[in-house]
Amino acid sequence: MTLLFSLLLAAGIGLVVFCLLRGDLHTIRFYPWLCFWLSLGLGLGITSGGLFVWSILFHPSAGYILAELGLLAALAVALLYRVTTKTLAAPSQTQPGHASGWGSSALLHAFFYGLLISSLVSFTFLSAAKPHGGWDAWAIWNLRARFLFLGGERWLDGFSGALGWSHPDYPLLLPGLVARAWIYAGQNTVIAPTLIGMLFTFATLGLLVSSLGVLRGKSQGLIAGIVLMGTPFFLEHGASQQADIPLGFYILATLVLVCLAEHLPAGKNSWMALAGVTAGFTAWTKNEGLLFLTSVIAARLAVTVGRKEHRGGPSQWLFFTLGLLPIVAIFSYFKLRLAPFNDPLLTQGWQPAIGKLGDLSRYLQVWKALLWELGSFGNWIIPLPLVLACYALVMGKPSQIKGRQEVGAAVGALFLVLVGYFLVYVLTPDNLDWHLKTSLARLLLQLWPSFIFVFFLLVNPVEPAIADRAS
Amino acid sequence: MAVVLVVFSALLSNFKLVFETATAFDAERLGKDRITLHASRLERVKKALPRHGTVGYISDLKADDIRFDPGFGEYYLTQYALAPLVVAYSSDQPLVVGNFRGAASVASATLRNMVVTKDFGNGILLFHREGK
Repeated sequence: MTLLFSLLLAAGIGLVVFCLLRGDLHTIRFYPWLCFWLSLGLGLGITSGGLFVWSILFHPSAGYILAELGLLAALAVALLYRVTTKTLAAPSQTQPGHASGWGSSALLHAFFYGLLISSLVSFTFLSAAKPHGGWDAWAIWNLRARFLFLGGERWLDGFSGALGWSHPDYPLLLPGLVARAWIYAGQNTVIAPTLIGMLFTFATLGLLVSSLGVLRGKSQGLIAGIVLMGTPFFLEHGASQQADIPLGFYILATLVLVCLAEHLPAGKNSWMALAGVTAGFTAWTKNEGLLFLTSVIAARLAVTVGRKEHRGGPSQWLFFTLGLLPIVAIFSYFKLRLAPFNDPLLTQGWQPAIGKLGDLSRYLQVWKALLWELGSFGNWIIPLPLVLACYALVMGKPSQIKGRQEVGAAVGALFLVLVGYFLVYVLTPDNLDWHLKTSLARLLLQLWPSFIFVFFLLVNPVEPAIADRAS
Repeated sequence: MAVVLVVFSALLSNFKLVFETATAFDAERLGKDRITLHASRLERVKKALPRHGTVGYISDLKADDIRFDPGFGEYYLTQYALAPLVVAYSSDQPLVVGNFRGAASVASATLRNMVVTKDFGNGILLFHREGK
């Protein structure tokens, strides 16, 4: 019960922060599920960062629970004051999406919920078989959580040089969340990381479905959700309690928020502030998040700078930065004071790196592995990327893409991250074959929910496509 | 038709997963996973160790199914089980946890100036270095 309470409290804090930044309660009324999943992600990130700050100031302890309750109360008062004293623009009153034909929509719903039940059953079986999660979960993430929860005043022992193999430089969003849940539960039960893994897995699904529901129509969202649940590796990895699924959630959340800023212009700056927060959480989840953070900034700059039709650009960047700054402050303290980057990729020196950059065989090897993994990383029976390519050919793309710039920024960000991953493999000081085999599928999985999101933004929704053919 | 293809492909993969996980599930194996079992082996020695600080680790074991380095498998499991104690893969500590399968290995460890403080059974021993 205390575990559930801790997660509800996190969601509550996220919801209040979401409403505070939006400055209204209308958004929740119009888009309840979208707001719920975004708030949940916000709350989980904020409370993880909160525990870290508390631990630095004092040390991880049950006193943090009181601090969180106090924070929620203070935020709720601030929200009450804001919504009663200031009337901000309400979101677009137009109902999102396209009207669905009842028959197809009912069938899609039936398939979606059938798959949801099946996915939950699979997740439960997987978690029961490996209650401590996969290798990286217990050797890295949950190990760090144990130091946070059990270490007391000596929690920094978890960053000891003797534990270099456990990557002490990895950021603490996930260990912080697990340790926080244990603090509430009063014991280090395996249910906590399992529940957190489940939350991120199904929150990613919920966010994907609800955001596409708002941006492109309910059916489009449901089909996207079906594609995600039809990716066994997504569910398997979610149950393995590692940080790739949480990272994938925050990458998706950032791209969704950037697109919402264009689609729902009322309170545009607040969407960008929220995007800044979630982009910051990508870096607080995994080091790869830094690559995404720089990629999303670069891609959005590329599609917006110098365009006359893009109004309010500087203020949006200001709000994005304001959202990002607190997380960057936490991340920077962690990296500068506690756990500097020690990745062999960065410490190998210039000479070996330049040598690898000039070796064409490495590019070829990475390219071949990438092509192979693209068709197989999901553990599908029929490779879904291939199925989606056929789907795109049949459905075509809309004559005019709504929110073209933001969709362009999302595509650009994902492309830049992929290029970054490619170069990381070319430069890796580890055995390249081993490195590709042990990590490429996970890296692609981080981007998979966002790829599905962008894909369904770009292809014709079901109903208009049918209507087009009929006319 | 395109939607049917997508839904069918997704259903196929999803149902394969639920079938595989359901058939592989064995209720009798609950709580008997490798990590839980290893933690149980170390339960008694954990009580004899300080709560914080660093202890050494020696072993003759190589674990199966280890991704990174076969020789270090059970060392990682030991660190996970004994946290928040730091476990250094070295005998150069005042207290050293031994993880052995055979008596011969124990004997070779004692030759390296290690004195058995206590044998906890199941191949788990606690050593201290002579003179420390």
